Amino acid sequence: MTLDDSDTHSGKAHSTEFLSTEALSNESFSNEAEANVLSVRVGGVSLSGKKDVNEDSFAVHQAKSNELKLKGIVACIADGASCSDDAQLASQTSVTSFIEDYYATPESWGVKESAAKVLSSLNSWLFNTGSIRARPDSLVTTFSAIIFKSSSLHALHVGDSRISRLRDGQLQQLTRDHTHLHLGSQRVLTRALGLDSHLEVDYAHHSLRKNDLLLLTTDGVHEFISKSETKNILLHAKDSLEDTARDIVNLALSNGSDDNLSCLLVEVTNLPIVELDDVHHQLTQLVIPPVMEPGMKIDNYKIIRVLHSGTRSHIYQVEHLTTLEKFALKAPSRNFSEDPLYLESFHREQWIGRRVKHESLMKIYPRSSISPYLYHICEYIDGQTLRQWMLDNPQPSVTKIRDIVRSIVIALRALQRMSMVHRDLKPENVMLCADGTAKVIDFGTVYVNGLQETNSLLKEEIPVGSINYTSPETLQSVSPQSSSDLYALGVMTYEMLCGELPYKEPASAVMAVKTRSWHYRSLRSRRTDIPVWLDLALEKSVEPDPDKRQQAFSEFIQDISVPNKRLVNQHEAAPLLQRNPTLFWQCTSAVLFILLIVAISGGIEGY
Amino acid sequence: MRTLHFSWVAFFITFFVWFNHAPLLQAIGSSLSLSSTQLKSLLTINVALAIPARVIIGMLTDRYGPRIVYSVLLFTCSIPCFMFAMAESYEQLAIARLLLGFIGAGFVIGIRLVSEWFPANELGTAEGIYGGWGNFGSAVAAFTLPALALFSGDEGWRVSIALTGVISLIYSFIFYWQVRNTPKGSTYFKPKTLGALEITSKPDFFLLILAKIPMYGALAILAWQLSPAQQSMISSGLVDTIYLVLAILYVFEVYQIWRINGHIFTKPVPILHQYKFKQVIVLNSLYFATFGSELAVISMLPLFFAETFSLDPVKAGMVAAAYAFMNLMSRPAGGWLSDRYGRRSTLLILTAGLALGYLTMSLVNPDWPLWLAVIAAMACSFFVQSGEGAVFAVVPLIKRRLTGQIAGMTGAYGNVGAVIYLSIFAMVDYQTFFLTIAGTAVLGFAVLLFLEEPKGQMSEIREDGSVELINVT
Repeated sequence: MTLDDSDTHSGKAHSTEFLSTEALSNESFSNEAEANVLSVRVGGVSLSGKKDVNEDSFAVHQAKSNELKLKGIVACIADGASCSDDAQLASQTSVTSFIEDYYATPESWGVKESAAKVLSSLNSWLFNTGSIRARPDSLVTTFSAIIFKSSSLHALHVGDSRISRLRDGQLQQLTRDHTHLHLGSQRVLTRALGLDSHLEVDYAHHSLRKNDLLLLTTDGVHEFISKSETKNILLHAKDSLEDTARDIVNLALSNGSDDNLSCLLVEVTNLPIVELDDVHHQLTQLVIPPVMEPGMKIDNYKIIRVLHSGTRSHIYQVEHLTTLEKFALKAPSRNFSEDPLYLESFHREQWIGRRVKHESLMKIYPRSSISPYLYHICEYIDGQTLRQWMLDNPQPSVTKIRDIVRSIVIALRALQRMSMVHRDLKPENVMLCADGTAKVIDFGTVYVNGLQETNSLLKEEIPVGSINYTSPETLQSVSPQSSSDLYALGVMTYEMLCGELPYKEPASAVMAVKTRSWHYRSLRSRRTDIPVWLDLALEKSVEPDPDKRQQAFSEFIQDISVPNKRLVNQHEAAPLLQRNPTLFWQCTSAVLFILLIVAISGGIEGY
Repeated sequence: MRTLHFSWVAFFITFFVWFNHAPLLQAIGSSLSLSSTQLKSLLTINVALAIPARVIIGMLTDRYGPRIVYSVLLFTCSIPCFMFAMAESYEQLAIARLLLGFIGAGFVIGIRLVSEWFPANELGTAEGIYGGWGNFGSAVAAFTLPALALFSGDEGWRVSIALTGVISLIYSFIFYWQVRNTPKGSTYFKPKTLGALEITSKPDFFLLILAKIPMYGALAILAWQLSPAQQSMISSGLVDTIYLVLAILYVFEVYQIWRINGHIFTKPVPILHQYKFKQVIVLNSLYFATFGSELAVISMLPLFFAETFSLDPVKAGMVAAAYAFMNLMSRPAGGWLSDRYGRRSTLLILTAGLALGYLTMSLVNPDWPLWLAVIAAMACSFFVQSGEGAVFAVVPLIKRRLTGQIAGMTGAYGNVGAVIYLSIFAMVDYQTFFLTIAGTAVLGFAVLLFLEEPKGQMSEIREDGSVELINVT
């Protein structure tokens, strides 16, 4: 047996599927012939060379349809370090479980985030399993992966395997070897999977072009064949990528390679190019239902009452005609029938609502595939909006507010775990159920990391969300973080306690973006029974600078439950000018006034 | 609802102030011994500045929000109102009246405010109420001010005018305290801009540039009318300056159009965003004939009745109010009719009625019984105002995304119409004046044939209450 590859189709690892020299089927894997889908063709060869065992592994997974859109295509290569006993196991496990685990991450996660999580757990497993075995670093391997998603290439790399790209006749190495020369001649890995409990992986993001050819090699190949030789072979590539890969490997072998040799080639055959008109057409396929009244029927639902009727959407309580089950039906406002961004966000809301399976987040049910209308069927929540509750309870106790905030935080944490940011948290979008728990609704503006990478042609040009609850950094179009949701939560907590907003409301949207003063108005000026430490905690949560806010929801809960000594001390140590500028200037003016009076009267006396 | 009421009252007051002079014209004339030409010129001057003011007010509303802009407008416009009340010469009157033109731009603020508060399905009715009940302000002015003036002696007109200023002043504070820009918690960043209009094809680009000419042309005509060649109210140097300023403004506007729309020459507009600008032109022409003639007629009607039937000012005012009185119902009715019977056919019928109505008005002479003349005026105003309602029922269907801008441009054409009709009024007798309006209405009817019935709703609610999709071809 001279060859050992691993290859996955549909996520399954088959480390021994190809035992002949036919390493990988070189047929293009693009099983979706449509012009606007990303597709690649692949070919790879791995030889043990002069060694007895082949410690190299590579694998490719060609995802389809939705998975292709959200997760992309993965190709990776690993070279088990010769010093380790189970080098083969290490490399094989790495490529197969990386692929398996990568596709198992939530769809809402971005590539970088998913890959980082997977690699770090892979590393811990290798390191710990290795430690239990005889020698500490018995499971060590290099690892290089490329992930094609939309029209981007994400490269992850650790060790001395290489990723190179041939574009326009130029061969460019995309990675840097993690080695250093030991005793003059021998190269030693400085970074690799399983080497240490802590792992640093190089990550790079490149844009893709059609016909880009990506080359993944292990050191048995690239140490023995020059760049120009490789380029030469690639430029005169045969129809079959596998044959081309074999040429490279054979040349390295004849150049005297004494290591395992692996070479994996991936060529981009098609990029997802979408026409704006197509996107618009798709979005406007579904009809916005007319405004309905109780008693009317739409598809299988009967309208029971109107819950909300506004300039953006209409929400009804509905009943299923046969099961008599109660739901909430949310339909877009006709105002947006030609607004692709709004329509896209409405579709996205459905996508998100089906993925957030959490008690504290409103559920959205799958839409009927035959309905011509655009609407969501959502879980009916028996309760009131937080806005209504605030109107009903103008002077609530701090204890009660703390309970509500805790309950909202549960929902926000669930979103955070999915790598989502709500971006439109406000009292209207929080429902208080009969049992007192809070549910967050309205996912129309939720920012999803994983979707952001899918190269939508529709770009948000205007900040989303409501002016009073949108954090300043979101206005500067920084990609949103959970700290933006914390800001909104801080504003809501403030408002729940006193019915006012911590910052002065801007007169219009234009003013809100351009000129807005971020001068915090102390909660104690509205309600004197609020302790200073709580006021300080809230002030911190709505800091215009996200880095100055509490860095986690738990920290915020902590700060509003127990006095934060540091905040209080800081406050007390601060000069009056900073703590209470108004009082400072009032006092100054008073002193000046007295001095003036004294001076004048002195003057008069002197006169 | 509350906001709607505060808005229409605000608009009501702007109209109340804007046309406070019309029913008092005779008194003003005799008190300051002005000529008939001078009085007629005052009417034109009054509506002139409203055209550019709309643009400025639109920009301010985008930036500062309707609440503060409406309040400030009501507040500041009380000042020229007091100036007018205390004027001792024709020049002072004219300057005050010119400045009062600003208050005529209040309409756009309220349209914007109402659109923030009402869902799409109620918006038409809400804006109908806003526009219709607000316009009624001129009728109330015609009805009450002469009587009030009578109570306070010879110079009573001054008291009446000053009173409208006081009302505007007081209401500016009430409005500021009571109204909010948006419902709580729903202030979004999405701009609903009232700025320059977007067009979506190359021919439309030039059409838009052409369509902007009348806005400046109307002001140029006004300047020409006051020039030494005509009435010699202003010096020829000043007239030339005005021409120059208008030309510069026009060039600037063309530049703005280029700045917003220049990209269409390099990159086609996505199909979803395309629309036909000719539709806007048709609506503009119709609004020119309807709202333009309404503003002109409510300005001159008290004078017309007083002179034709030798009525005293109070009675003339009351009779003239009959015209604007119809506003309460006819404007909303226009919207309702076009919802029910199709937009294009409704407009055709109303425009035909409008032409006939003004033709009838041109036939009115002292031999007619007064009641018949009043009925003619009311019938005529029904067609005019229903026509306005029907025009605004079409506006949102042209291009939903651009509704604000299309409404703005259409409204501006209404003011252009007023300036032009009143300029004509200053030069001709009543009969010719009404005949001219009837003539333009016939023209409007011809233009209307180019209007394509806008795509209606695609779904229908059946009698049993189920929502069903219908195919629109």
